[in-house]
Amino acid sequence: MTMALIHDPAYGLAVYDTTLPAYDPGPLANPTAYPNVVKFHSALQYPAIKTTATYSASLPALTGTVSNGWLVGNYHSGRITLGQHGQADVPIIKAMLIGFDGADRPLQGTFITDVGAGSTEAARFFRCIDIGISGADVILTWRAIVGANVGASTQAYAARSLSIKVWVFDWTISGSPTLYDPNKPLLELSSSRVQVGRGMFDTSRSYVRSDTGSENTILTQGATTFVNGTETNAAAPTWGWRQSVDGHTKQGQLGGSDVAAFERIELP
Amino acid sequence: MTLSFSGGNLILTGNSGEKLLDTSEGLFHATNFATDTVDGVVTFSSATATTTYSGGLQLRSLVERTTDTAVKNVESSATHCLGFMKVSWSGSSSPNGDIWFDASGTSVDTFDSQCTIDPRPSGGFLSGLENSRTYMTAIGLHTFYISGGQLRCKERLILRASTANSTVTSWSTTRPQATIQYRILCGFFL
Repeated sequence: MTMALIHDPAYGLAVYDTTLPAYDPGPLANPTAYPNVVKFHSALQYPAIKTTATYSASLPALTGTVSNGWLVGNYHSGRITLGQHGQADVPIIKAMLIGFDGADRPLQGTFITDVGAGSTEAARFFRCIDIGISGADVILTWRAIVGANVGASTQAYAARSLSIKVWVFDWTISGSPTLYDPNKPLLELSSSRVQVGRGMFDTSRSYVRSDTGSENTILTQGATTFVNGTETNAAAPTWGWRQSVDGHTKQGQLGGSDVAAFERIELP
Repeated sequence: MTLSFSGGNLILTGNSGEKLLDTSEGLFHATNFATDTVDGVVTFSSATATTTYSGGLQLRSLVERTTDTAVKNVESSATHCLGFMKVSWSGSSSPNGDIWFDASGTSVDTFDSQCTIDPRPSGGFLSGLENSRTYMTAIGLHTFYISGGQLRCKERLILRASTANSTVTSWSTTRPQATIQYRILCGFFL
């Protein structure tokens, strides 16, 4: 393997393997056509973290009540404003629950916090949270159906205190930030900083990195919640739900064995 | 600052020993910010499940479907996506229709549990309350993912209406048409 560090004012700075195929300046001019050859290119767009914040929230306790001998199950929902993201437009965010069920849990899509307490029947219900943006606010929404158990007196979800870390990206719903500045250097190295491509890449920013040895969260690929079985015309449903992400598993009737795919990443 | 090569990778280290750049690490870069015009939109049609009590039998029309839709062509090398999604239901107020949710992973669009006691008990209907729910009878899932150079959106939907009886002979449950606005950033780790 021969690695080249090439700097061309027309294209930027690139690091790439020049032996696969034989030496070819193509990766410098067209890096996206050589994904298996290019290691770094200053003209590519690397989303970066702009701000981070940690918020506290509390999910309320929920209790189902008995009425006329039957437990009345109800749908509950609510939202909690965590704080303001501080950006001019809706930013991309990633979030993580800190110290939830014994570990830090990435919030990737809807996150199921609890199944119903008690018997197997009650375990078929869940409480879940989602995180998103509304205007200037970072919002946590929660939804639940209180578990039901025939003949029981009550079923309940306890209140839960949450600590949520939120990373706010420099990319917003309007697109990428304007980074290119012709007045900035094409390549500048200092004792603690590298700037490349006239503002396009700057080591003072925090990028999304994998294989660092210090990964602290994940980026999922595809589904995190699954359905198994099929709905038939039987008296009792013959399908079940399951959520399993990096060791955090919640499931109802039937369950299954599906797990989410992901890449471990390091965020600041 | 030091510049070194190790195993074919470039490493830049600051004067304090901090690693500034190491090309052996994966660095997520964006290949596509998938929007069609101002907003990208994908829709999933409405669905209704019913139960009718007739001749002592539960006659059920169930909903179980999987819809996997190609949304947009993206760079063939893209593997991961992150961004925004907003779900609204036609003809009804979506409780969180003003929120742009994180589009990673699976979004649970809807879930419910209806009475599955077969048949539904006849005594003690209290005004405004339903009898007990003992199973999850509905769930709707939406997942954005990348496959074969395409950004795709997959819906998994199951609906089952409450059981009926001689007093209330018919129940139905409907998931309206779901419209998902999205802005998805696609990319891969270089």
